[in-house]
This record gives sequence, C-alpha cells and structure tokens, in this order.
Amino acid sequence: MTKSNLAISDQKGAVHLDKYAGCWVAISRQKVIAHQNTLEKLMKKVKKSKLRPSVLFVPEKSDGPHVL
Amino acid sequence: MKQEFPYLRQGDQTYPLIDVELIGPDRRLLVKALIDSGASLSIFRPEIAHYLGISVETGQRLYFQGIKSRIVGYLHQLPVKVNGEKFDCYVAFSAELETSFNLLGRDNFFHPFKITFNEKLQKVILERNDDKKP
Repeated sequence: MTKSNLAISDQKGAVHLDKYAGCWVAISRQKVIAHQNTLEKLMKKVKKSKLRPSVLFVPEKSDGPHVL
Repeated sequence: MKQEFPYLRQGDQTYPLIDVELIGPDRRLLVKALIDSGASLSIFRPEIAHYLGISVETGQRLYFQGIKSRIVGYLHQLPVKVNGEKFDCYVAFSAELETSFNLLGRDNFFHPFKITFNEKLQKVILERNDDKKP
C-alpha cells in the first residue's frame, strides 16, 4: 500500500487527502464527506447533509515546504 | 477549556491547522486555518469572504510583506468562534495569497488563547487565556 503523502491523523484515525489536491474538501468526523473545485459548489453539496464540516483547500502536490 | 488539533502532514512537513468558525453577514463557515505565529495579522482566501457575504474591497486596503514580495489585502473585523470563545477578529482577505492555507496571525487571534505547539505529539493545543495584563 502506498504511504499517504497528505493527511490529518490522530488517535481516532486519519483523513487521507492526496487525491483531493487542488480541491476544496469538507471534513466531518475524520472523513471527507464532499469535494469540489470551488467552495461555493462544495457548500451546495454539503448543505444537503445535516453535518457541519470544516472546509479546507487542499495544497497542490507540487507545493514545497511552506515558509510563512 | 482545552482543545487539541492534529497537524496536517504533507510529505515530511507538518502544519498546525485548527478549525475556526467565521461568521459573516450572510453565512457562517467552519474552516481549517494555519496558526502562524510569524504573521502579524490573519489572511484568508477571498472565496471565503464571498461565501460569508463580505465584499472584500470594502475593507481597509493594506500591504502585507512576505519573504519575497508584498501582497495587497483588505482588512475586515468579523466575529469568529473557536474553542467555545466568540470574539471579533481582524481578518484580511487577499486574492494574492499564494499559499493554500488560510493564516491565523497574532493580532488579534492569539489574544484569547494560550497556544502550544507540541511538535513531538504533532498537535496544537488551544486553552483559554485567563492571564491578566501586567
């Protein structure tokens, strides 16, 4: 199995984000519940569920280390 | 109250992201943002302002100096909620933000909290700051 390059992990599990690079994702209870290429489209999709996810624009795979 | 957030890992690098709720005139949004102790102010992507119902360019126009160049952003004050704390926070929105991450800077997001970066456990911990000013 290929090691995930992009993830948020804790004791409860991990959210793997590699395949969503360059997209907006909605994450709820350690799961990606929706993904879209714009935030507006994402939230339209999310609105149909009763969950209150947090959203993230997933960095591109080509992004180097961030020095902010 | 204490709240912990696991770091985001990208290859060999990790980033301290937390969930923060931004409350706009039209809508509210729970969004992941990077705690950036090197940033003076918070800067978010403009799509978020549009979603919240904030007209970006009505804010105060400011130039933000980065490592290589400066970018223009528009500063707003809006209610934010995190770790049970709701307060008005300065947030700039910039179409020139080149990083994927929204950035939470010190003024004034850091004021209500004690913030611990636990690199060993790869998590950031937010606690309410009850310390009085000296």
